[in-house]
Amino acid sequence: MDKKFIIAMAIPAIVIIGFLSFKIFTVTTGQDILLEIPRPVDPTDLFRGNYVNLRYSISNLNLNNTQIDYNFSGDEIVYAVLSKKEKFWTIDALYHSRPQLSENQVCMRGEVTSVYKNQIHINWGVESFFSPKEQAQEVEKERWRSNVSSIVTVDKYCNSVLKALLVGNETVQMR
Amino acid sequence: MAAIDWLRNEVGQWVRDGIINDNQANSILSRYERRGLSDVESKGVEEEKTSKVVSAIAIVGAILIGLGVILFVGSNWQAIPFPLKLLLLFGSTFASYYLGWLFRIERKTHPKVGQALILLGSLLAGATIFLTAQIFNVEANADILLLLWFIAISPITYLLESKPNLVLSLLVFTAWLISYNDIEHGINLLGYGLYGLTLYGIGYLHEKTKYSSFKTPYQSFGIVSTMFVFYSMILTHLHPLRYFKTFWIDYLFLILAILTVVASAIQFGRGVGKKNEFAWNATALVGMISFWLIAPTIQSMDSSVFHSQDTSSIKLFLVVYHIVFFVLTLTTLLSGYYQGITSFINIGTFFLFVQLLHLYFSHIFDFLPKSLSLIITGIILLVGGLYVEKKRRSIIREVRGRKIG
Repeated sequence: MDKKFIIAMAIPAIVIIGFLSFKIFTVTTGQDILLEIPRPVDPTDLFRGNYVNLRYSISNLNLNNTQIDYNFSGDEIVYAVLSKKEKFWTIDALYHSRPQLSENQVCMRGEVTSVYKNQIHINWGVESFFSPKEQAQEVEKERWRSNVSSIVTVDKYCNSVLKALLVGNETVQMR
Repeated sequence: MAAIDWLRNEVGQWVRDGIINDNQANSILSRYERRGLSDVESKGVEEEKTSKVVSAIAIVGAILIGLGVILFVGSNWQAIPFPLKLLLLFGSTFASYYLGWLFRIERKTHPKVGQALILLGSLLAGATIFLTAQIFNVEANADILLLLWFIAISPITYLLESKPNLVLSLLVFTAWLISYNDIEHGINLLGYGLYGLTLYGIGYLHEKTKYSSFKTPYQSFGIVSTMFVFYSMILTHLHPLRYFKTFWIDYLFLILAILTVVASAIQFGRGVGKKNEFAWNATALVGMISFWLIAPTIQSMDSSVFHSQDTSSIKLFLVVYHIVFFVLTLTTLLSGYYQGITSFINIGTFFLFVQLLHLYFSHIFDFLPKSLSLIITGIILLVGGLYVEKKRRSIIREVRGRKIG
């Protein structure tokens, strides 16, 4: 077989397998944490169908009540240290670089989308849950009861993958 | 000049340039003198027409299959487990590439169909990336997916010599750029304008390589991007400049745009076409930089003053940019005409028509009674459309005739 053809095939294969492996690494080596979702909604992605758009309690934070290393501005990468409180995991501190963790802590990496006065808005990359249309609408109905939370897996490098939604006591999984 | 005389002149030039030797020159000439070049020409034109139709049908087929697969994945295809879906998409991506390579390069039996299958492979590669993202609930608007798609398919353009794949790669990269710049952070129209000039420059890099056929798609894409930015600025009365803020990518594109103008200036002496090409590049760059320079003035205006549209400085800017846009349209047409590049002629004609319509709607339409305005608009669209199309065809025919003659 032509050498050029083999190289041509190797490049997309490496990109696809690399992307897949990166996510599999997080799912298989990470730790599951439960995050509170006050308000999910269900828009549509042109390429990927229906999804539930999730806004977490940790998406908007008051900087007066959160420990930070120094001031944040929009578009910056942010690392959060989280620990388990009563039911949900919440943020203890925000940093500009990967933090040292104690035994009961995990970290998540996100991107600051805006900072206004004391409020910081962060995108954690786990805000979309893909599901069939009917399922997405069911989840949306539950939002009025504040009954939705999500199971997120985080690895030691602060990467996260959204594994499932918890609607009441029922687990909603894509796979 | 008869076609055979033209060929004799060209072959003589090739010998003088050392591209071929005397024996090869004689073999080429005797081959065409024996068969009669007019016969070859008419046959060639017919074959080219048929081959273009086959190519278009095959490419439309590939796009339909690719879109169908993407939408199928998008509609949460629940019956089949994800690993199997992934395997199916992954398998069909590489099967499509393999068949494309077989038909186009290895056996050369159906090169046009092969071309379409390579394009289909690239569409399926995108679907596979999006499906993988869906499995792991990767954020819906993640621009990284478009970048991964671009990285995966862009080398295929060169390794399998595929022009449709180049067009897809450019579309994916542009979509990534738009997504990366993000509307919330001040969508940066100037960046896209300079990106257009950068693409024009990348086209130059292909000129004397074995990928010389890629030059025109790059440059056509570049012209459309830059002209689109200019037209959007005029259409929105410079509104995007109120939110303009520089981004690192703007500086990168600015440097590359300047290099493009320099490359264009170096070729200035190579005929009227190249002179017009330089005029287009230089006008586009100066226009883009001027947007950058007037942005602080626009931003300092009070909102009510800016929106009233009575501000004399805004009116003056708009008049100047209408003239600049017209110069860009004209130089696109002339550059295409003198260099025999039909896509430039098509793009130039399109933007000329758009500008004329814009001027009509913004300056004449409102001053006439509504019913009369609509009738006149209809007549302009019909007659103007027919005239522009007739003119465009006659220019393209002339250019093609000149190419053969």
